[in-house]
Amino acid sequence: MTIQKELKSRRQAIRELSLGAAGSMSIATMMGFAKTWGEARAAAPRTLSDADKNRRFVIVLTGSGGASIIDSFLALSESEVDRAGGNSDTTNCFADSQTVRFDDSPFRAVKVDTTIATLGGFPVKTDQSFFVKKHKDDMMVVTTLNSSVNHEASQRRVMNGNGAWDGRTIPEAVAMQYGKGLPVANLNMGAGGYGFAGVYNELPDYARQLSVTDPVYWPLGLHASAGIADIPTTDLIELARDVRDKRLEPQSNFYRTFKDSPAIGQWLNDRNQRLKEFEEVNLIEKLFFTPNKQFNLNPENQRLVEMFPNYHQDRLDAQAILGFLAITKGVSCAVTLGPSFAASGQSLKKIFNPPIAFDFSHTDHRGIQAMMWNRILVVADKLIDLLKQTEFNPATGESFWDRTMLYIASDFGRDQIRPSKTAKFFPSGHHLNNGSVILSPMVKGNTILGGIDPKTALTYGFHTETGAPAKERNTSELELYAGILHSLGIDTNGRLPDMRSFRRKS
Amino acid sequence: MHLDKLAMLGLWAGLVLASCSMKPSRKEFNSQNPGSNPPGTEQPGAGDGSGDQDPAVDNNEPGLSQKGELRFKKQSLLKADLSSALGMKPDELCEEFGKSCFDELYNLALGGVEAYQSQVTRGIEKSAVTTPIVLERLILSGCNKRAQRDVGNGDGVIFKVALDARGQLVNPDGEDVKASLDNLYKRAVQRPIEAHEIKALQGLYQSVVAKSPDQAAEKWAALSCYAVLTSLEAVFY
Repeated sequence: MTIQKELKSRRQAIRELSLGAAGSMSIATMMGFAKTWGEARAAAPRTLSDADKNRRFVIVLTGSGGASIIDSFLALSESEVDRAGGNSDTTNCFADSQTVRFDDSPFRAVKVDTTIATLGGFPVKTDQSFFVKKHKDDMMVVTTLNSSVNHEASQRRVMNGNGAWDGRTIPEAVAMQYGKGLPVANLNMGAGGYGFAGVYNELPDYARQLSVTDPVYWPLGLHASAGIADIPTTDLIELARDVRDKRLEPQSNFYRTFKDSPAIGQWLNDRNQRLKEFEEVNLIEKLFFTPNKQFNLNPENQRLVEMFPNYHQDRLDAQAILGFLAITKGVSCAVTLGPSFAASGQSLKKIFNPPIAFDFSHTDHRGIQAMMWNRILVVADKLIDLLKQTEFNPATGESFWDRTMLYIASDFGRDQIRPSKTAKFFPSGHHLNNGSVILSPMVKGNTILGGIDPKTALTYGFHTETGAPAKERNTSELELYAGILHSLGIDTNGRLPDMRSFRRKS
Repeated sequence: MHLDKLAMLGLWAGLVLASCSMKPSRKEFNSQNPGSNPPGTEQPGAGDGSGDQDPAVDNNEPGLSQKGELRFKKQSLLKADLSSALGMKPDELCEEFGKSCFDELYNLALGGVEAYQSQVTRGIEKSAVTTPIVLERLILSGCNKRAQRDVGNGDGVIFKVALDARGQLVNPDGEDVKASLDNLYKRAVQRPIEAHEIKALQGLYQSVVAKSPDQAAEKWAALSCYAVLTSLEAVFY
């Protein structure tokens, strides 16, 4: 039997759904991502189950190594530092010509044209203003003060709000609330501390994260037999499973001795129930995107491969494709992705990821921050565009983007100092003071919560309920965590402060 | 002195008898714990005692482990065990798109680590939802290769069975079949096969022949290997 015959076509599956033949399979699960608005409206009307209708999604895009907010949307110009009584010569700020301001937005952007000496003179030419112009209305910057400058500790705290809610991470909390019924509710492709699971003991199994290191080939492991050459057909494999499950195992001394083991119970549930569910919806066909001869590729995936052409050498590109497919194919509601600390590239002339990502600022702050911010913003921009183009609920006209939050998490900030105005290359250390970028139609767009003191380049906080700037306080990891979860409509049972200042509809 | 020994013996015997009378029988245990069997299965002989029990089953009940502390074999152990059981190098056993199933493709799901690219320095403790899937996938691949090499070869590593012209077993009840299955069990779970297991796998052969008669022996060998190596006994320790 060929794979093509074995796998249900999308059209067939949708037809079965309309006839009620697909049982518990959700419509969102069956939807192709690239249904444009026009195509969607022309298609037969469909309805979503209550669970699907209410889903919301989070994408955590990690600024691994320390994405500095004063090198992006809260950048300071030399003249304003001087006007405020600061010293622009030794403060990490930009020439006025490099600092872009907007009449209709409080955000800044920077333009950088330089080389990175410690990467063999690698050229960097970036301009962040495209991102502000395009996404400002769904964009919020929240000033923060982290609690650690140790990468792994800080990354973990950024994900779990420094243990804010019994140790569950943001993706775990989202998966708990919105992930029931999804095959892999919580897909984690993050590196280092971003890749750690939380420590909440009562986390339901469906919300546990699944770690992925190779997004290109990971989908192969979602079916026990599809695509393996010359093996017995699936009906014969079922015969073998039947003999194993009903005759060999129950009578074995091993099973009779250890039948009450929790590990056995978990295994049997996953093997006898979940495995079959995975195989029925054929996740390889939905998620495997690299061109090949073995699998029936979704034609829309070709568009994704063209949008992220470096996916084979640059894992961030591959993560973006897989993350997008996982959300829009009804597989996941929480996706974590981001650059790792491993260098990648084709040569010194074409580097995708510098060693230790943003943290290579230790050797050359300005060039690395510009290069890495650009890397993050380009991926964020493409993901937002794709999600906006993909229909979520035809009854309400919502796109996937209407239900999604993209959170650019950072370990911490970087030093606010530089040796002098004339220093083309300078290093920076870790600093607790920073800010985070959140993009979503669910948050108050075009807004900075808190502010920055131009004299010191240090950020300050805000009143949690009103959002009014408050120079006497800073935003903790816990408050940021609470604001993110509350904006996503997650009920934290009164355990966290009400951060209504985050929400578009407070 | 002699009396002391007798007294100790009596005390020991009394304790043994007392513990036996306190421990529920398997039948009693099952009646107190409905649903303790896997879905769709029944303990042979349970229920009405009408004699429908498989006579090949050993009725000596093993003790139920109260702690049940088991672990699934993780990447490095699986790699060694499966490679040894199937008589193949790990990458020969399973490789897809030129990548090693154990070390690259399914490393994390099998409890391995990936320090360089992703800084994953601790493997999963409990099996993930995809662990049984990837395990079945790589075992299916390895068993299929083993069966292709063994069946019809006459000098196979696991299966040494006589075939007819259509690729079916000459004698499904023959000693060559039993010896091959015994060999499979010894390599997979380090014990001799039991009579009921031979019967079950012979039954699998009949089912395979009924559905797909051509080259049935090779398919059956691959599927028997898959059934045994993916069984709980082969996966946990």
